[in-house]
Amino acid sequence: MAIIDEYKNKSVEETIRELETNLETGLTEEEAEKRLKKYGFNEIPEKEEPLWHRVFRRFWGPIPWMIETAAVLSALVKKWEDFVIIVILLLVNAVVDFWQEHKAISALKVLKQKLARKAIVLRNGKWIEIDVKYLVPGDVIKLKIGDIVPADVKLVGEGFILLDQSALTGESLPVTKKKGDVAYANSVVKRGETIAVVVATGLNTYFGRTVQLVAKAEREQRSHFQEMVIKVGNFLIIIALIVVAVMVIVELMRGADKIELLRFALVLTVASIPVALPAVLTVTMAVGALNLARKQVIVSRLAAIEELAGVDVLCSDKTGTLTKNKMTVSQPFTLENFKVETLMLYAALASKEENRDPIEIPIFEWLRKKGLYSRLKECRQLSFVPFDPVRKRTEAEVECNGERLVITKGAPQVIAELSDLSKEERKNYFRKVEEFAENGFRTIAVAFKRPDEKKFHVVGLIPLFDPPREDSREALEKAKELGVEVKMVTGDNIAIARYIAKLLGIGEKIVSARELRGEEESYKEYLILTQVIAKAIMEVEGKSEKEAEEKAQRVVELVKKELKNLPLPKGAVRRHESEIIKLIEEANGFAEVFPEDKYFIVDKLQKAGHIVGMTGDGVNDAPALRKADCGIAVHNATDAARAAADLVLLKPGLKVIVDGFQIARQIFGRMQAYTIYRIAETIRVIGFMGLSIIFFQIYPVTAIMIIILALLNDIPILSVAYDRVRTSPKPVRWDMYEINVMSFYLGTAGVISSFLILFLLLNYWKLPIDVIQTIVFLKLAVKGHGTLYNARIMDHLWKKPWPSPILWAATYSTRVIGTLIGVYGFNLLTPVGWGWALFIWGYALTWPLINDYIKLFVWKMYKEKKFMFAPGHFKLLRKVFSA
Amino acid sequence: MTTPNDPIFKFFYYLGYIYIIGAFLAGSYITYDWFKNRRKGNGDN
Repeated sequence: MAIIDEYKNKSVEETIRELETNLETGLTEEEAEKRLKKYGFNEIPEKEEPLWHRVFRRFWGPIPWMIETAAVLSALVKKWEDFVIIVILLLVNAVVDFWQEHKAISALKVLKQKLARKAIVLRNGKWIEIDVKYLVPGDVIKLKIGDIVPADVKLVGEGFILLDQSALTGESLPVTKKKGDVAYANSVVKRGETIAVVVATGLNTYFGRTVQLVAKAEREQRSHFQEMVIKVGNFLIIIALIVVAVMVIVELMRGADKIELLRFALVLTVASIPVALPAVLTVTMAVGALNLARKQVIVSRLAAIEELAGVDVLCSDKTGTLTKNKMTVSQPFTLENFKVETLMLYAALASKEENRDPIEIPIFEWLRKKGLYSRLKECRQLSFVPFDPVRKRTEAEVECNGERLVITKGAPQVIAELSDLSKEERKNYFRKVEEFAENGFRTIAVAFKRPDEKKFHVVGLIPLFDPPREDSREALEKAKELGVEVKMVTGDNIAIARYIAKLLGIGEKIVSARELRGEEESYKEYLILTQVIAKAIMEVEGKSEKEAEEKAQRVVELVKKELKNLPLPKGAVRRHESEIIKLIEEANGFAEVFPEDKYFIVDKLQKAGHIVGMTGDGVNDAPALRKADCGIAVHNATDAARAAADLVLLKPGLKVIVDGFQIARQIFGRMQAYTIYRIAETIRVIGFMGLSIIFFQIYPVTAIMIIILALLNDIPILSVAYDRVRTSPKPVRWDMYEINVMSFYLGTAGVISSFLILFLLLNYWKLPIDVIQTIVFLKLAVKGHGTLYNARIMDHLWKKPWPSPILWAATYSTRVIGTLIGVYGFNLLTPVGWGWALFIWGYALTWPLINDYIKLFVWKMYKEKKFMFAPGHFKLLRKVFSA
Repeated sequence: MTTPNDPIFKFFYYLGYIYIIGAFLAGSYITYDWFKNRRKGNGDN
């Protein structure tokens, strides 16, 4: 039985007594500290893999087994230098792999920390905000709409809350809870606000006990791109194994030394297959996620980076994201004989600053900005009647320099009724009110009278609005440059939405959500039908045609009124979906939007083939955030919205999201470049070695050389995640076919270049085989990373952005190390001297330049869907790669 | 070890000098450029 069950039937007083807490002051910090030691953190501990397991896991599995077998075989034939080098490869592979995983785990930990939930708790008599993991039994906490209940609690505050417990109990409908009820950790507050006492934390909660038995570190979800790359990787492994198997059979038939052959076959397989590919992709994303975090964008799952890079429509909240979420005074209007200063001073006198009313704050700010705030001290507020929805105005009696005045401010219609406006003044007054309303301003009227007067004298009108953020326009332009269409989403009325859209240059096509739902449109069919039937009935009743028509019209009006309040059943006549999709696609923004409409908008845009980003903050936004390809919880969003989102913003504004798009596309670019390079490498190694041995009966390199090459290849892997790449000007989507076509042509060019040098060495200069092997080794070592430079950008390799220094240093140093080994031999291979080394540098580095033109030619042909390059021309391969 | 004395070898041999020094200089410039931009706050992307 969970602890919470024991408290179900206990009264609030009993609970407080047992938990030794106080509703007025909460726990003291010392007591909380003591209880934290006793009960532990309020979290479900993840089962972390022990360090020794993480280390030794690297030596267990098909790839390590192959390397280990090769090492044992080397020892058996007493080739000790080979044995040492193979063991070094095994260790280097393990270290690189461990480092990659460590990097990814650390990044995920940092992200998790940034996503830590907070709770408002009463400690030492003060309400403070702490991480939920520090909550202890006995803590008094506040629960409000959108919160995820942080622990099992007993409700002790007055009032009701609506709780969604569906994730825990399976109840599909939210349940109402009141004082004395219990609430489980991880349920979501859908409505209301209350105070609660923590009863159980961490593993002692109902949720904790449920998951305790299966607690384990959650595996990071893979993105589509990773899935596809892994599929291609597996395909290449099969190809490599087939080629190696054929080679082994052919060589056995030729009577080759069995142990030597097995050793060679094993190391060739290890060197050719893209073992590190999945790990490199994960690390590239993890390092990228940290870059995003620096820009205040927290990724809740790494795979979301791919979706962020592909977003082509962003539905952005207006308030707080595009606008400042702060009311501001626009251009006030005064009646003749009054100054703007007087209007604003009177408005302030009819307010109470300490109430922090969002409508009144801008008035005081305006006065401060104009240096008039001190003039308020000349007056004294004698009485104040606050705003209420029935009177729709405030009223204050003030004394200024010995003169008494009654000042009121409120809704323009109400103030006009109380005033002595002349006919002409009234006309001007309402024309201005209308003009402000058309622009979406909230308007306050201000009037005053002397205590003995009956009617008020109107001073003027104050238009208020939530202005756009300074950076919104620039961010919108940047989004446009990046090929992302931003659609504004707001709950405000259509006039405000249009005005803000005009200010920001979003476009003027703002659609009301009511129109989207097709409410009035859907009546049309009903109304036509009603009219026809009503007219027919009247005619049957013996009315004349004209009379029947008139009566039918009245029936239609009544039906229309009824239908407005009647939710139409599912399947009722609605707009055709394609019509709605068109409307949504063409709209620049949506007004009068409810959270449910957001889900509707995302759904329709997705049906039109868009990758949709959607922002949200409230508890009811959660379904839309989940539905969107990239759900974005904006700054200060509720726990529920944050839990549902892929990205959580820690800073307000659209600029953060646009920065996110750029970084995500760069991460995508790095992954794509490395994938092209690694697939091309596999084609190059396996193609060249396999063909040389099977058809030309020559071992172009020795087993030890392959191992050294594999070692040299491991080093630059570490630098890929930090490379500088070009940001795609358009949303990116993975195109595995494009990657495979590019890799195929670059890999094939590598095979041709290797055969060309082999031909020269063998038939033109007729060098001995051991020298040829060293020179080929040199060629492979120097040329290898050239493909990485080719794959980095789809432009000439000398164009900007240039590679990061770390990538250059890694590739240059491995070339130099490879060269030194080839030049001096170090008892591992036949030394060939600097003459041949320089020749190889000249030969090998000419090829990346040639490949550069091949790459651009293939890319151009691919984009233009020309023969032999575009999808559809390799149907079998397309099936394999795009399945 | 002796090397051939024919035009193909010579061509790539001298090209090798250019590449080995050129790649080093290019890398040094890239590093300088990176530091320069980093000071402005946008060395990496």
